[in-house]
Amino acid sequence: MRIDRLVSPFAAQTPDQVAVDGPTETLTYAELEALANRFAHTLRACGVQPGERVGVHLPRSGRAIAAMLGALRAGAVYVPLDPGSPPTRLKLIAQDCAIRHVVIAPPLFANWSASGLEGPVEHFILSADAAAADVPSTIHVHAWSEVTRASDAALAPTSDSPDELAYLLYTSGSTGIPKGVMLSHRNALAFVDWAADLIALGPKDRVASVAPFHFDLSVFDLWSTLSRGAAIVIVDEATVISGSRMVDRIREKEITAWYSVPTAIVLMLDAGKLYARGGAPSLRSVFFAGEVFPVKHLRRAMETLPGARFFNLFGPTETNVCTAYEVPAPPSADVTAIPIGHASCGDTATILDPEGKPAADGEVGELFIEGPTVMLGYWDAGKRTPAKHPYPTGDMVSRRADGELLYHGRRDHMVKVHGFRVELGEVEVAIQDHPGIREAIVVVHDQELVAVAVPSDPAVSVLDVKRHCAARLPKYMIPFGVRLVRALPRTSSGKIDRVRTAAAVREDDRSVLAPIVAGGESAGRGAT
Amino acid sequence: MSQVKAAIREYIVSTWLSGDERGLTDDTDLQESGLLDSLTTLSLISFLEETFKIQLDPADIHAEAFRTLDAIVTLVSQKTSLKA
Repeated sequence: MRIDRLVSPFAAQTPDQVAVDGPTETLTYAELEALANRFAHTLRACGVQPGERVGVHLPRSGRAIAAMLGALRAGAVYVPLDPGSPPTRLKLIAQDCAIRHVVIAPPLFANWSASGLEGPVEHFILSADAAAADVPSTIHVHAWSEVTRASDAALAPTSDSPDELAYLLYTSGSTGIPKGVMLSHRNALAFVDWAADLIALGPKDRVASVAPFHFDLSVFDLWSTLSRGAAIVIVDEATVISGSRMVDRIREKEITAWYSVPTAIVLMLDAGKLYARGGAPSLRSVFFAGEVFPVKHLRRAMETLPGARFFNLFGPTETNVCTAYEVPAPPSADVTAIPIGHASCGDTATILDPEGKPAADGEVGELFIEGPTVMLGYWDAGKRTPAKHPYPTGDMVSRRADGELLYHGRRDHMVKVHGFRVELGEVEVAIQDHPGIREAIVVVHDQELVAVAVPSDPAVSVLDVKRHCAARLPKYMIPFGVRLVRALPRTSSGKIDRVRTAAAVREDDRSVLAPIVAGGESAGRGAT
Repeated sequence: MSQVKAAIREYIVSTWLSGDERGLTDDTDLQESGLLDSLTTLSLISFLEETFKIQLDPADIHAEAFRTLDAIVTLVSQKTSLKA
């Protein structure tokens, strides 16, 4: 099976069923199938070869999904490009994996012309009507009418192998230079089917698309949904930044399944006043991943949405979801951490200590994953590097007596301060546990721990935060510096941006970290 | 507030509380509040010795002597009066 074939049976059996709803256009299964084929013919006519990479540079929409399907049906590999990405980063990605063809929304074309059109991209296929652009003769801009006039008949498949590359997801390497995670049809389907079975996804479901397409959470929204003949409801970028607009969308569209970072859910609880507005009775499944869900917020979410099952899904992009945990009930007040669960999607999970020996129950070690979701490898600096097997996730975990895994943070977030090993995530969890703190991140500055926290209660003081930590953590883990700020910087996928936070602490950049207490300036640990 | 107390308070607020003085009182327990550990105690001692030109003996350096702002002020007063 290949993911571009998932749609066709429903196009034949339930052609009028909605496949993609919004934000500005609704596509039925028949329309999505036809548009996917038109894109495939157009790309083929532009010279796309089997195995080539095709950029998809569109806001989340039915046309973007049709373009991905079309690229696959033309035998190519799709590469979702972030509509919010700066031109230089787009160019780095295009050069890295030699993209010659980009399907693009006309307003985004300026991103490419701004950085100069010389480069690997030769063909831009527009996803809507637009005035002709003035481009050099080496660049071909194909009007939307070329797509709509193309045949809607299915192309003969170039391959049946599920082990071929289906898509590349570019993530920031620790160096800041993006590298492409190579995922096959088999990789995707191992998760897609597992997740759809888990919640018995069916044609009546309406699944939110909240995550950007270049972020792997979207693999569920897109392919699990389409594999069961259900509807994808686009929750667009302008909606995702507003708690109240997200609540509007869920209630108005009667969304049944939701998969996002915890931050989006907390935004609905707080700014969106989800409880006061009567919750979201249609919602029956909530998946969260990407960062730790502070227990106090998870408890509120589960109490606000009593009709929904909650799942903690875990795994780096390189393994998609490799462990999962269904939260059985709102966690009681004495619960400090939610497990990441046990191996999912046919994978096996092994915990190894620093010597490479299996860790005993309760002992913290690195999580290694083997199985069908482990990526093919990296597309990095123009080269393909196969994945290590089993795959070292870089995540530190321990196994509880009942077999469920607990997360202890990233291996590279393990720092040494005054000779003590400190897991930054553990300090963050402790601070976030404070009822007056919305979110917090801990960085190392001048060899000291510095917590950067966003209070939900303006009365919370630095002394409160330190006292709270002192009651929960060993002395060496209490942050020496505490900055109370209005907001934390975020990445394009909505996670807290650790790198920018650390840089802003280092440079005392108050445009990034706006302080709550004006003039609050920490001296060093030195006596004077 | 005495000058001694003001100076020590200023040190605690700027060094340990990132400039945020809210909640700090004369009898705030500095250990229970997570402000004092072995390293911060050492820095505090050198601050007190330099600022008030005093010498603290090992006998002076025990947990109770540094537990609160008031306790530190008392310790410094004893030392400065001895010197005078």
